[in-house]
Amino acid sequence: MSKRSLVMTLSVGALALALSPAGGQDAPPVREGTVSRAEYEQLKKDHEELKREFAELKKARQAEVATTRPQPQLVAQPQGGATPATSDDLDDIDKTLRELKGQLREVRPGTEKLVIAGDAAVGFTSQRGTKSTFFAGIAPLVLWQPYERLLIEAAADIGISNDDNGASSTSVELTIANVSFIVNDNLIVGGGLFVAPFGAYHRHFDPPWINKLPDDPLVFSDGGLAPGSIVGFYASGAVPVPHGMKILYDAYVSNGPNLETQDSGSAGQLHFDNYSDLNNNKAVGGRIGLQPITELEVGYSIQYGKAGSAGFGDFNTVIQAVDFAYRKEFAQIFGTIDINGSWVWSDVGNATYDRNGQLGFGPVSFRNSRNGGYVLLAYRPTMVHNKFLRNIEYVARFDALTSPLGAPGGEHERRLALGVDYWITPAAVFKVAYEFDNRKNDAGANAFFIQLGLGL
Amino acid sequence: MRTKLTLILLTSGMFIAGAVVTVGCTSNTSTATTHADSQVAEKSGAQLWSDNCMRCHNLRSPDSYSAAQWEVTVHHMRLRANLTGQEAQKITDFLKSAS
Repeated sequence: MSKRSLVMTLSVGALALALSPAGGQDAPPVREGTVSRAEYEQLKKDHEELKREFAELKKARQAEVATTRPQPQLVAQPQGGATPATSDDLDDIDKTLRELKGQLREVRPGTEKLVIAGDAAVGFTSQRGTKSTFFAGIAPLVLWQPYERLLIEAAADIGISNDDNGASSTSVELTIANVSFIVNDNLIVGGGLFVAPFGAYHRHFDPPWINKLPDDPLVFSDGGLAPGSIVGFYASGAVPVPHGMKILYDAYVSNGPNLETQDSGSAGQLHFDNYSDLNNNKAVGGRIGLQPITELEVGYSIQYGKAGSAGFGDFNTVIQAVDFAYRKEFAQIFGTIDINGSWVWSDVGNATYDRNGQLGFGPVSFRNSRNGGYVLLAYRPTMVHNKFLRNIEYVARFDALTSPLGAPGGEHERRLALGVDYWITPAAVFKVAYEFDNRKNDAGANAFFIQLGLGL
Repeated sequence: MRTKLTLILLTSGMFIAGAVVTVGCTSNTSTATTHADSQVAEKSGAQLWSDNCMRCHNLRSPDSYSAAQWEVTVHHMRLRANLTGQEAQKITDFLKSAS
């Protein structure tokens, strides 16, 4: 019996006792604050009687419910002596219908084949020469497969930043907006705004839940040597070859890069976010890769085009890169070794900048031949029993960028970053890193980073 | 000029090589390609998932997405990671069955 019922029962019993003859003036005097033995016995008797009555009522109620519950009914009168359908049969039919509806909904274009994924990062940076700051960014990725062979992708970088004057702002930048079509097992074609298949970094290691350090290598960061998102058409695929190897290929034609001619700190550098071309010469490029063994991929990329700037003329540009990625678990060291890297060469033909000296840094003529790259090494003890230790990854990366010292913004920069990651889930990582920076012309800008990277 | 010509030829060569090999694979007349395809066929979807995806990132749990979502996601990754159609199909089948 529940507490509430017991309280009610005792209350009723107490009331009955109060109204009973025993409770009259003939009863023995009641001592204030206490109950006599006779009163207790009477109360107990009343309580037992109420319990019995309650049990009888409960039993009667259950019997009533049982007789009024609907029984399985025959819903159809089959002919020919077949077994009649029951409500259970109807339930089965209903269940089957629901399953069929689900399957139908799955194949209907534009409903189920939509995925919102992407990544996010929040963190803190303290770098020599600049004020320490928190940062945050999110990059939603929308994937829509309206038909089996067709995929529509769209992504944007949404973030916060400070301009050169220290004013804060928010930014939304479209990074992917393309349509791709599967031609056959070995070829996909597409067009739009896409991540350039140049090197492996931007397409494979860039997202904060994959990148093991909080920042990008110099050659793949803003102002680096390699193209990021470009506008054009592409073809991509892979072909298996004997002995378990695979050849990968990507080719594209896009708007050519824009040549910086006005900025005293970056004249001669290329901008790849050239979403409407400045000339009729397009950039062509691609990457060819090989997977000789499962754990290893090597690749070579090249892009050729004419870079221009309004009223300045066009200049030949050639960018090349080699890349590799290797990852394998070794029982001898109780863990996984992950090593990847890339080296990029960028060449812009000889040009004279600030020809009349009006911009304050010229005239200056040079061939902007730059190169740089990175090698990242990581170790994670994936085979130890302790879960905490198993989720820690130790990371080291060397990266460099070399540009002509006599050119505007010319520099020889070398960096070494050391980091420790903790993998909260396979797609959520907490990173702490310190980066040593060495420059030829300017003082190095060592940096300390904390970052939480998430795959969504 | 010579460099430009070389680069154009090289890039064109990549296109042509890709197209030629693609046609060869599609027609299934190449013995070597058939042999290579059979090697892929020998691997399970789970094995291909592990081999291809872990080269760049950790493996997400198959129940991270629904069956329909995995189909879309693998399509996206087929483009990013240069998977063949056969590899993508086997990986998709595995993820859909495990989701």
